[in-house]
Amino acid sequence: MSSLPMTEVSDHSSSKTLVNDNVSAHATVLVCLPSMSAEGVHALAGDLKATSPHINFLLASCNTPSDSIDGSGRVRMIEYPDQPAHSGWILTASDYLNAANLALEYRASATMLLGTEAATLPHEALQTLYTAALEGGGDLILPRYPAGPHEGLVSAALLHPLSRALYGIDARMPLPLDVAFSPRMASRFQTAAKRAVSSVGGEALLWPATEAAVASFLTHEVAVGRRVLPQPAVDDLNSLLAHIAGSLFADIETKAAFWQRVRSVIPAQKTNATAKQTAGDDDLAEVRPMIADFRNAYTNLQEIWSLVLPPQSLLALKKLSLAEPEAFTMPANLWARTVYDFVLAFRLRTINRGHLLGALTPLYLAWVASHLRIADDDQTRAEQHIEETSAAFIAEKPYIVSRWRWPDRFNP
Amino acid sequence: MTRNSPGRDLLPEKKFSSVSDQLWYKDAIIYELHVRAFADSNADGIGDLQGLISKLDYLQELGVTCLWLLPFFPSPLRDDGYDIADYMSVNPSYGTIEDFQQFLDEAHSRNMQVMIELVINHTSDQHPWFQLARRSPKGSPERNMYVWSDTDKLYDGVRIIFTDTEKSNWTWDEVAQQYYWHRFFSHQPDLNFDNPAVMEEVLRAMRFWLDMGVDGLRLDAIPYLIERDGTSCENVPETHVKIKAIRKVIDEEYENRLILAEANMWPADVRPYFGDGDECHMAFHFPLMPRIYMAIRQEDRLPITDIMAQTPDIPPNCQWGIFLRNHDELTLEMVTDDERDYMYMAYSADPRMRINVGIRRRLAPLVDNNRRRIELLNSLLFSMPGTPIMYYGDEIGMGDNIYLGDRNGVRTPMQWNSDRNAGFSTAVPAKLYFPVIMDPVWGYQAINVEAQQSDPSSLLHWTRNMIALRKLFQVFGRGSLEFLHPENRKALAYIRDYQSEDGLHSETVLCVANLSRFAQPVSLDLSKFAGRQPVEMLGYVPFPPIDNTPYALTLAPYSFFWLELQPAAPQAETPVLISTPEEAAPTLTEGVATTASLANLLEGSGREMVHDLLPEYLVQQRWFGGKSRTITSAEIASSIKLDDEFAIATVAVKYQDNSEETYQLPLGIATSDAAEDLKANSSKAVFASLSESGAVLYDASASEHFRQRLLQLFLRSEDGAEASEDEVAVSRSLFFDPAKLVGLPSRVGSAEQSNTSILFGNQAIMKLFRRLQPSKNPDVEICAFLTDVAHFDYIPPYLGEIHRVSDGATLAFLQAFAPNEGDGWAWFTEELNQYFELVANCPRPQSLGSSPSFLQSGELPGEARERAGLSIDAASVLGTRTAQMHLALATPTEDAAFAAEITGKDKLSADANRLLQQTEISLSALERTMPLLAEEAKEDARWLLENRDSVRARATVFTSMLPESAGRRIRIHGDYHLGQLLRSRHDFLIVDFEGEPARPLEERREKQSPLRDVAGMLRSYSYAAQSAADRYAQRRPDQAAALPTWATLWENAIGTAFLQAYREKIHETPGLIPQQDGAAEALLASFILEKCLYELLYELNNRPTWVHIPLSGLLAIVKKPS
Repeated sequence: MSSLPMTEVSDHSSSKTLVNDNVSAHATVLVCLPSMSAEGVHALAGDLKATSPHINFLLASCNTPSDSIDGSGRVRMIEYPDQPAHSGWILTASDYLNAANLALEYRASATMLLGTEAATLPHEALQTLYTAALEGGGDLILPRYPAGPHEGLVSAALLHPLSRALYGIDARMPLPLDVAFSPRMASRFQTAAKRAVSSVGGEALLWPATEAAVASFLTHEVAVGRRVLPQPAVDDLNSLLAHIAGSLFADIETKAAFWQRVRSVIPAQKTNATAKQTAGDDDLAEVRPMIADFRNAYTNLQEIWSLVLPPQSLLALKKLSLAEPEAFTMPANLWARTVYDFVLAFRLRTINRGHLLGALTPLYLAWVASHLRIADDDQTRAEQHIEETSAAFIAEKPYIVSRWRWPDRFNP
Repeated sequence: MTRNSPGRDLLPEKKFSSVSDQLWYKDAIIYELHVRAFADSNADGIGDLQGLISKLDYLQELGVTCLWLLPFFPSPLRDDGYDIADYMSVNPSYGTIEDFQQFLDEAHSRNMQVMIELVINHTSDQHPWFQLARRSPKGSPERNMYVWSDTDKLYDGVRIIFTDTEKSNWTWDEVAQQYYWHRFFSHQPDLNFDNPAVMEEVLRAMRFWLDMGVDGLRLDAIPYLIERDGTSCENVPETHVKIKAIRKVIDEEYENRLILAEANMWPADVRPYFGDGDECHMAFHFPLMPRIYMAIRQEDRLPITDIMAQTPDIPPNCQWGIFLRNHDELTLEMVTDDERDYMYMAYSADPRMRINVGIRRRLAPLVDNNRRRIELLNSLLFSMPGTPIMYYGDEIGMGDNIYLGDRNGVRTPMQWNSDRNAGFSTAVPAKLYFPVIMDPVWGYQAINVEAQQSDPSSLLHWTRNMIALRKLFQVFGRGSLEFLHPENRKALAYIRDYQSEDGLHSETVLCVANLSRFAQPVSLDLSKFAGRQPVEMLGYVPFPPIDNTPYALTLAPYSFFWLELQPAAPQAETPVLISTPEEAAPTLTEGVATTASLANLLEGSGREMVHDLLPEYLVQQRWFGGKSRTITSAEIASSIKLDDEFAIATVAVKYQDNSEETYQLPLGIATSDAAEDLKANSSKAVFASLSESGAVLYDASASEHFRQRLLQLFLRSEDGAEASEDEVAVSRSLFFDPAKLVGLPSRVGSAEQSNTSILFGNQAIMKLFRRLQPSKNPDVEICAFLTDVAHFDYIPPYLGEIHRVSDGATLAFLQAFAPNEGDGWAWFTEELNQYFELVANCPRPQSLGSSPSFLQSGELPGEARERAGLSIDAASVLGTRTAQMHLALATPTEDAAFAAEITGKDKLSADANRLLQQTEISLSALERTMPLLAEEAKEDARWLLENRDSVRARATVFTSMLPESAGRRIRIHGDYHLGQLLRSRHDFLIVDFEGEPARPLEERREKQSPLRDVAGMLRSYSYAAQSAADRYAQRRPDQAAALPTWATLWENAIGTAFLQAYREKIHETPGLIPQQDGAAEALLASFILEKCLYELLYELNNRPTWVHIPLSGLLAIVKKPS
């Protein structure tokens, strides 16, 4: 386990979610549901009422009239701000801003902001989330859902390793689908979200875990059950990656003075996930198109990559482009350095940022191809590879810090 | 309608602050530019606001955060725009008010603030106010907008600033038929701030720009606002009333704005412009800049360390503005005459490079276009305390044109690319306001932005990286400064340290610069950072961890290191200690946690772990005296349990050089809230965390409970008797009054270095001795004697002490708290400053008086009485008190430790040997370091070395003296100087009888001639006079000529008054000092000689620029007939 100096990320199993009535008595939990249907809200209200008898709930949703839906008054509907409302498959800065405004206005003891398809969350998950916020001492509660080897790969390849290496936040989903937070976290979100919305617009994203880290607030990750993972509206990986990676890279640029001071311990690697030595055509059917995309990009994007990556990385990519699908493995440290160089190029505006992020997509596909080949539909192997990737980002952190401080592609 | 039109009275809507942090200017990188010189958008040959807007992306990429625009107002431009003809408009050559508003908004959208000029001391003579004034009747409000006089003799003697062009500060105006006052050019009449209408107009103009959103105002020529007859018309007190009024308006009506004072003065003189944080937010630090150039030229750090030593602390919300170059000449007003001559010779070989009192050249030409020198100078600019201010074009190393008039050579068009007119303008070249630079070395074809942008190794890229790096660390803008003193003076080393207000993070950075053109070794004492990991900041390269040994670095020519001193890296695989980034205390392992008690930690199974942690803990403590040595072991030698909560541990420390010391460490265990409080507020006191229990082991002096527990020991004991509590015993004075101390809250004092002081209300102060030595501490011993036996009134009374029963070592000393006005050194120094102010413009004194002597009656010259009467009276009082102290110490007693003794032959021989030994050590050191001395000091040093035998011969005074003539020997103060006095109600209290701490205890307790104390005090007067004169001469070089003679007069008069009073009083007990004046004089001279030799050695090792003080003292004695 790494030493995480700025935040503590701990596992809260569902067995620990019984509410201590003495502590939470008369607490008010705000539940913001920017995208839930009216039926879903009613169902959720029923579920919440069935939890701790001493907690009052305020439900804010665009889709339900603002009146009490519980005779006891323990669960009340409140008005959701008119604009801007939730607009997509993931929580945006606007969602955080609305939730933070309501939390501060109603002086909520804790707030849950639940994203699209939150109705599929197990009932216990809700209690787990708000209990961790009320009693666990955490300012930010991030859920951890069980995921298959093919799920959450943007997080696994980029968001998780970058957040862990740079900020010391060991959370599998730094851009959460659902989240719970404390009043002081709400205050922090209000400021950050305002800034993000005013400078980027309604589609701006907020990175809750990095906000918590910068404020030295405690982040907890809690294990919750499986939920339906919403899919982005666009089927264009380029746009998706540009949106998410671009936002994270910008956040990294803003918080450089902070993350360059966070030092983590490099955890000892007990295992190195390796792909099966033999694979049949069926095993490779999924990754072949990805490898083909990467090879095409190697030919077509050379010029852009050479503006971003140092010779050593370019040489390694050349070798990778020549590898047969059966042996196609992007080394974890190469991926880590590549991402770091893109982060740096983003900061330096080496090329147009849109083009830059577009040029990252085939490299990401190369990592995904490696991952799927290594995971081989085995969740344990997938986790090992994700851990190995994450560890490489930590090990290579001095690389990004030194290049950030003295950008020069002469070396290595 | 543009706002340049008459309709501009409609003031713009007030804009909110562009920045959220009210101290934003502390982290800023300011970029100074002239609109005229930056970029021309309309091909008229003159830069304009639209041109500037087009270059904002460049400035954003460079990383600067605040743009300082030189005057852009309507003006005849006879002083580069500082001759303003309209305060609320834009010079049409540069654009319109709308253009300025657009520029402001565009800059803000790029997170850049904007500072403009508020030139309020004077206007152009073309300003409508002046035109109206000269035509209005005498005495009318319109006429009184400016300063008029019928004679040019008013304010006579006030210096002229532009000496090259102006002959008087008055100019006759034919229309007005009066003279008008101008501190600068004659076409810039000074506004009259005694007229309230002027202030109203100034505030109106200020609001106009601040309402538009301007973030900062530079107050030009601020010391000259008010004129008063009989003064220098600079810094007069009423000026501060005006500035406070301006600041008040800003604070009440706006958020997060800045005013920056331009006061080209010594830091101590600039300090009042910060007020109590209620005048200017920032002020330029003018004298630092020439000294940086001087240091690199002389390859010696002294010019920099010296000026920073003269820089006073400023209020926490204030900031210095530092710079390497600006739009004016490199001003040499704030240097001595010799320094100015040196700078002229070094940096302006061609007389055309000089103007007024300075050098009109840019940064790169000043250092012969040497890239490494430019980088070194910038590294200093970015790492010294203050906000760096860059001058446009210096980021690419632009050159200058010394053939242009005035200071225009450094104001040529910005060089953007190699196209026509350097890309500055598309006008025909002849139309440019000034020609671009075109020579082969500095020309725009060779030096321009575009070329450097495409060259990854260019100065522009380097500068951009350095700015970005500096912005990552708030320590540079907000941290404290501490110089290190490595032996190699070609190396400049300093620590910057910052703890954020919210306590969330701290930053410590070590900066080391090689001022030499050759590689240099440097060895730094970083022992107080032992355990830390230096990380080179540019490359994020870890350097070897710091330990207690000197930290060696090798510096390439003109190179510099910025090393972040990070807490020790986390060691995940080591289960015993887990260091966290914020220097939290280490954690003792689980085995201890379950049974954590003081007994377990000090005597049981936890003891070994405590021993492991002790060395690192000790070196971080201010009171620990062994920081410069390597600890081989530190162990709990014994512990005295006070109760279940507290114990006093004795720590035995062994060093690599086989020496040993013993320290006192009171310890306690705190849990829950108390532990959290300690971690948050007294983290240095926390020794270790006790695993997961949340408890901490800590230095108990941080606990109010412990401090009261110590006081209880006194309160419970019997009057004058020893009250034993197992292993500690308490002694109380006969005059101890418990009622005065019951229930008083305590706090730990901050002044004490080697021990820990605890104050109980305003009644008592307890000194907790840290380094323990067997037997009673001399300070305690003497104070007890003086209070209880001799009833001497001029010390803070002794109240009691706690000592260890086993060996008598003093653990704590309780003394009455004496209200005071500071120490004697500070008091006399302040008196000296006033004395020099009085005599600065006077010719040499008619008589210097005579040096203090037992052989002369010593009439004091009238000039001394007249100008230093207060000091003379104080010295006379002090002479009496000193004699009274010696008489008290000679009080007949049966206590062998105090009974006066006759002087034996053996004692005189020992005195002679000691003097001879000191002579050899000091003169050998002088011989060795002779080449490093200043020229004037060298001459004296040479003479002294040539007359070494005469010095040695002085030792014969002791051996040739008959013992019965030498007076008696008593306990004396032992380290007697002005710093050991407290000024209290027109009198003095004498403190600190510990003797010289470096000497062994037995030596300090020896009885000696009281004349040794007298010699110490006379030398202290000499130091006060000469060091104050040096400081004054540096600040006022033009008034320095007669200062040495006035200093000598003061020293002679004060010393004589002191000695006369002493002699008069001491002879009340005959025989304490030699009865014969000749013998007394000879002994005194020999003690003074010994003291001078000791001082010489000290200064050679620590402050070479002070060597002249002991040297002159030595010469005075040696040249005097025996």
